[in-house]
Amino acid sequence: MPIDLGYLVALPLLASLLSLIPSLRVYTAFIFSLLSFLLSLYSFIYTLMGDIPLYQWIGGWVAPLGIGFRLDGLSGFFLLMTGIIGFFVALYSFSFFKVEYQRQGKVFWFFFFFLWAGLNAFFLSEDLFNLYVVLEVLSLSALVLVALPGHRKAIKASLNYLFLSILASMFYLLGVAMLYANYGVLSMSLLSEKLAGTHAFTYALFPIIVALAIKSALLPFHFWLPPAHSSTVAPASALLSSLVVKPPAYLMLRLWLEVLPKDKSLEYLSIVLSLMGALAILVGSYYAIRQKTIKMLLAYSTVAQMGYLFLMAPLYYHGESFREALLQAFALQVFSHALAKASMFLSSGNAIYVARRDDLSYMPGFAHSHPLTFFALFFSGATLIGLPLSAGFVAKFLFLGLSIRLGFIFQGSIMLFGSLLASLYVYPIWRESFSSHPTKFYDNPIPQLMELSAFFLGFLSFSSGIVTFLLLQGIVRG
Amino acid sequence: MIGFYYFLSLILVVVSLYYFIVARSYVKRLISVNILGSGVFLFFVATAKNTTMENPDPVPHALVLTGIVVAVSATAIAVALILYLNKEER
Repeated sequence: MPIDLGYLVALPLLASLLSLIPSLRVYTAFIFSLLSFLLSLYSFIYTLMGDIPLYQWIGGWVAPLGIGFRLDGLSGFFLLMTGIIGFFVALYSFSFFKVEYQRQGKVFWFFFFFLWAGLNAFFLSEDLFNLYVVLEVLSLSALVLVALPGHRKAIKASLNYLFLSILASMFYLLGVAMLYANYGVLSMSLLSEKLAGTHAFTYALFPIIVALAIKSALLPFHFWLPPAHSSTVAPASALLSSLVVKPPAYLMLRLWLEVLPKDKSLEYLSIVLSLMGALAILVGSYYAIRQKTIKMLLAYSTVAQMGYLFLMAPLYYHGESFREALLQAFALQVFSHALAKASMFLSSGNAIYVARRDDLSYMPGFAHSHPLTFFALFFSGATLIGLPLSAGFVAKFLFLGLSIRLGFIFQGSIMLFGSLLASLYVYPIWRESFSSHPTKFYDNPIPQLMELSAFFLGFLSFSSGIVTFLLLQGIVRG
Repeated sequence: MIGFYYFLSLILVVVSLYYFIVARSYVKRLISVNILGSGVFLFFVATAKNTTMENPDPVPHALVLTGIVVAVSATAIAVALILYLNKEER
């Protein structure tokens, strides 16, 4: 049975409004996060069996004038990713805001559901201007989540993030204006027909790509990310680092594979993006290795992991004959990193909850005193590195195979080197957890829900590597 | 005539981008990013006359209107955060 795609956006929006009523907050949060999760699970299952791509025109107005939603394999997969992370972060937040930051807990849910609605809308939209609006919805709710703790560091990080994201949006809008002036359409499917054989779009593409690079923190524009993602509360960090940076990269892949025709200038662009991605992996990992606090380490690791998505840009240009494998590799890299990073940030929240500090050196003996949280860190760390069986391993394996088949040895070797660097920054977390001098305040129990949700996210990020055949089937449909 | 508006919007974008990069204070940055937005909106509205038809295309106007709403709300959040920061400092 086809679903009304509008509910995927309307449900979280309704929840964000209802969560403003104090007496309903907890019930709303629980019921609607469960419902939204089930709905995205259903749309993923629909992409496995149903008739896709599924189009839905809002108000019955069809494309050049109307705005459409479109569900296909890739967007269904990302909806599932958003649903899983949203659900577990919601579970975590129930306990978290009960024991800490009670004041922030009152407004958290509004922006949490607003962000969720924005993410779902982004993965479903197929109109470039609608994507601009949704991108703004995402950044505005994300920057409030950054400012949530209310201390100076967080506010400053949030302001810097806000300015850069307005700048990026304006660049994006400039590109959209140029495209519209030349082609007169904004729907991606119509645009792909009109672009064929023309060259004018390359000028419009430049501001759009710069905007997407700023929003997903590609290397020269990465400086806003570490302070923004590390200074806020754990559930917000988890959402930001796992979900909010992904949509721009997803849009870039969409444009590359489905909209843009083959053009020489795109080949140069893909090489530039690839070099920036390679630098992002090297520099991000280098800074991650040097960090002394766990949240800064995780934030820099996000910079490095996002680098992979751009490193492989030449494959998007050259690999139209391997389109399915490319989609699978990209989607799985995004999925594994998102789940693993969410789990790591939630676990870091657990560690900070007992130690009251976020220094790495304050984690000794964690594996003895809080094994569940340690296993969360273990599984998600293994996924970030790409140890065999994990989803991260399968993604990197697919990318490696593609880069060898298409002759991009440089990209493949940078990716392997990046895995090595990832093990260097994940290892200190594991090592400190195992050292045998548990300090006294580590006897503090962590609320069970906080431990369990972090653990399940980490476990899923690892074990989804084993069931990839199921996940990968859906991505390439439609 | 339309070229004049393109040129004007280019000047706005370049000047405000320069100030965005060199400005140290949050208020100056906020103003420069708003002017940058105005430049982009001007460009977008100017493209409406870029058709062979007698009347300008209404779609860019509608889109720019949406863009202005978004820019205003982002500015409101920025002002709120800057005020909060100043109150903390005192």
